[in-house]
Amino acid sequence: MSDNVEASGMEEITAKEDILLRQINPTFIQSGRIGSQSFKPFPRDDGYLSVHEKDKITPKEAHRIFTEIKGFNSENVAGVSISEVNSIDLQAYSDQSEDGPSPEADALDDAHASINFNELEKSDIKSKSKTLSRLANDRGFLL
Amino acid sequence: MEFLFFKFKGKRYESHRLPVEILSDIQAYSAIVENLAVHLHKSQTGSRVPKGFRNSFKLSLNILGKGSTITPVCRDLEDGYSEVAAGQDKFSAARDLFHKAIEDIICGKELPSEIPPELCKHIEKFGAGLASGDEILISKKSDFSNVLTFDPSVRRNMLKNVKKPYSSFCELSGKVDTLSLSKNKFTLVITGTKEEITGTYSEAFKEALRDAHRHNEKYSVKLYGEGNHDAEGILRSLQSVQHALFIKEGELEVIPNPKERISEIESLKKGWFDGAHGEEFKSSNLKVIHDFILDLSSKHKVPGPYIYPTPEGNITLEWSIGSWEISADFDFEVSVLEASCVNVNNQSSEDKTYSLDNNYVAEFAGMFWEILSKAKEEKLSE
Repeated sequence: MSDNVEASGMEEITAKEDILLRQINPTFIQSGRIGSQSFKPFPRDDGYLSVHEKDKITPKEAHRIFTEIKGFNSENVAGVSISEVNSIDLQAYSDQSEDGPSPEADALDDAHASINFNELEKSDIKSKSKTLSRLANDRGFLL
Repeated sequence: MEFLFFKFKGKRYESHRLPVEILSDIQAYSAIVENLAVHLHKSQTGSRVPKGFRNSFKLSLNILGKGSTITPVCRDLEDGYSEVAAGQDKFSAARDLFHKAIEDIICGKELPSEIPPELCKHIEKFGAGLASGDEILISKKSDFSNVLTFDPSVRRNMLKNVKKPYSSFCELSGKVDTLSLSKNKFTLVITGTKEEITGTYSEAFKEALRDAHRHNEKYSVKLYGEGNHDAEGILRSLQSVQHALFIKEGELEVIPNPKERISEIESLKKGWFDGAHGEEFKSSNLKVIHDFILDLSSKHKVPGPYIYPTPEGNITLEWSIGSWEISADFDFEVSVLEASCVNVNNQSSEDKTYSLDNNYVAEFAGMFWEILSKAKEEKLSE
C-alpha cells in the first residue's frame, strides 16, 4: 500500500467476487464497445479510478444517483471484479466520499471506492486500463 | 555436428540389425523438430521464418559401429551458420523442447504450453510402429547418461495431451449466409469454398452483419475474432467477432464507419466530458485521423479501429485482436502517434512512438501485423 493510501485511512477491499461499478460516459462507447479511456484515471483523479461497490449499491441505483442527483453524464454501468483488479497488480480501496450535494446522494457516496493507479508509469496505466476495459466488455453492461 | 542419439530396444532389434521402419521414426522426429522450430520462431518474433529456414535443417544417420544398437543422428550444418555457436539456434531449442515434452509426459505432467496442437500429426508418426515392449531411447549424449524412454504408453499419453480443443485468433473471409438477430448468431460461407462456419456476434456488429446478410450478393466480409478449433486443429466456429472489413464490389468499406464517428467527435463542444473538462477538436487534426484510418485499411488491409476522444482533446484508436489490445494515441501538440499493445492474458506489452511523417502509417501497420501474427500463434485452452 502506498503512503498516500495509508495516510488517507482507506481500507483495501478483499472480497474477491465483489464487483466494482464504473459509470461510462457516452462518448467512450462506440457500437457498444467501451473504450479503455473509461478505465483510465483522468488528471483530476490524482491516480485513483472512481468506482462503486456492487455489494453496497445496485448498478441501477448507482446510475440514477450519478446522473439524476449528481448531474453527471453516464450512458451505462460496467464492472470488474476485485479478483480481476488484483490479477493485474492493482488494489481497490473503500473510501466513502462525503462530497454529495444532497442527502439523496449518500447511498452512492457510501459505496464509493477507488482503484489505485498512483505511482504507475504512463505505459503501465495504459496497459492496465486496456485490460480492465477488456474484462468489462467481456462482462457486458450491467444495466 | 552430433544432434542426438537413438537406441532401439525390443525383440525386433535384438539381432543387432535394425529394421527399415526406424527410418520413418527418424524422419518423423526430424519433422517434429523442424515444425516446432518454425513455431518457436513465429511465436517469439511474431514474423514468418526467413527464406531457406526449413531447408537449413538437415539430419543424417552416422555409420553404425559393428554390432552397435546406437544410431547417432548428425546435423549437417552449412558453412558460416553461426546461430548454433551463439546458442540461438531454433532447431536445438525445438529438440530440447520436444525432449522436455517427453520428460513431462513420463512424469505425468501436462505438455509444455509451447507445444502447438498442430504438431499432433507429426507426433502421431513418431514411434507409430512400436510394439508392446519396444522402446526408443533418446539422448543428446553418446554415453546415454541422460536418457529419455519413448514407448507406446508415452506416445499414447502424449497424443492424448496434444489433442485438445482450443481457441485462437483467426481471420475469415466470406459471405453471411444466415443471420439470427434474436440469438446473435450467423453462418459464413468461406470464400472459395462451400464450407460454412457458424459464429456469434456482439451488439457492436449487429448492424454491419445485418447489412452483410441482406446484400450478400454484393457484400463479402472479412471477420477477425476468436475461433474455436477442434482437437485436430480444424476451425469449427467463431466464438466472437472483434473487427470486420466489408468488401463491396471489390472495394473495402471500413467498419465501424470512421466518417460518422469522427463527425460525432467534431460536434463535441468544450466541457463535453462533465461540464468542466473536455476540449474541442480541431477539424484539421480529425482529418489526419480519418486519412490515417483509410490509409491503414486501403493500403495495409488493417481493419477499422474504434475511435474515442480524450478529455484533453486528443484521439485514441483501439483494436481488440485476440488476447491483445492495441491503441494508437494521437498527440498533435508534439506531432506523434503513440502505439501501445498489451496482451491481456499475461500483461506482456509493446510500446512504440512514431512521428507524424510520411512513413508512420506503414510503420504502424507493420507493428499491427506483427501483433496480429502473435495473436494467431497463441492457442488458448478451452
